[in-house]
Amino acid sequence: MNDPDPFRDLVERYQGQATGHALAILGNLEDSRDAVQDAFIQVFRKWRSYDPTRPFYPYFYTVLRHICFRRLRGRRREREVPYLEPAPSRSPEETEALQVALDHLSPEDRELITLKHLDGLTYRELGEMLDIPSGTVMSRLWHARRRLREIMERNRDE
Amino acid sequence: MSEVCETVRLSAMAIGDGEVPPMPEGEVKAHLSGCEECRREVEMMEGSRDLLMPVRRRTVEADLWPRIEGRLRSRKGVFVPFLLLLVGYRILEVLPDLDLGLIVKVLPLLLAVSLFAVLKENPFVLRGAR
Repeated sequence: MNDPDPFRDLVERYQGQATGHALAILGNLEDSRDAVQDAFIQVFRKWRSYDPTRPFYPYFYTVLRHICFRRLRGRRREREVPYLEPAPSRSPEETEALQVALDHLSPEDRELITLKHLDGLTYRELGEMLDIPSGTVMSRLWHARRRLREIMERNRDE
Repeated sequence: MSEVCETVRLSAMAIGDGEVPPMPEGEVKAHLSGCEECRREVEMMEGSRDLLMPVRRRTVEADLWPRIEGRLRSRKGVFVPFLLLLVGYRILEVLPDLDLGLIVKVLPLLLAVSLFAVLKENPFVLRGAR
C-alpha cells in the first residue's frame, strides 16, 4: 500500500476512540494525539503484518497501548484533562472523586477499568485488546476494582 | 485465601458482569451463604462496579489525518538520496580509465541492503495480496 489515501477512512473512523483510550493512560491530550498518530504511522508502515480477517481496532490498540506505556516509562504523569463525563445520575463532584481515584490506580489498572466500564467490553474482548487470557482478565479486573474501592474509601475518609 | 474462595469471588464477579462464570451460580451462592469473608469481598467488588456504572468516557475530538498524511508522504523523500547514489554510481561505471576495484561490485549490494533496512522490509517474506 503505497498510496496513504485508503488509510484515511481508518484514521477518521477510529481517531476519536483511540485518542480517548490514550488519554486514559497518558492523561495529556497533546501526548495522546501524538501517540495515536505514531500508532497509525506504525500500523500503516507495517501493513503487511495486519491480518484483514481480524477486526482492525483490537490489532491497532495493541500497537497504541505499547506506544503509550513506552511514553510513560520511568515517568509519573499528572492528569491534565478529564476523560470522564458526568452522567445524569451523578453529580460533577462524584464524577471528579471517581476521576481522582482512577488517577491513583496504576496505568494498567486504569486502562483495564476504563475499557471495561466506559467501553463495555466483554472479558473475551478485553483479552484480545490486551493480549492476555480471559482468566487473567478476570483476576486483574477483580484486583483493580478492589483497589479502586479502597482508594475511594480512603479519599472519602480524608 | 483458598483456591475455592478465589474461584467463588471471580465467578460472582463474572455473574454480575453478565459473563459465563468458572463455577456454576448455584455453587457460588451456596459458598457465599457460608463464607462471610467471601461475602464481604463480593459486596466490596459490586460496590466498585456500581460506582462506575453510569459513567461515560469523554468524547475527544481529533483531526489527525492531515498530520498523518504529511508524515506518510514525506517518507517518499527517503528514496532521493538512494536515487542520486545509483545515478552517480552509473556515471562512475561508464567513465573510461577509472578503476575503482571492488567498490564497483560491492556498492550496488550495499545500496540494496540499506534501502530495505530503511524501509524495514524483508524481501524474503512472501505474503498474500491484501
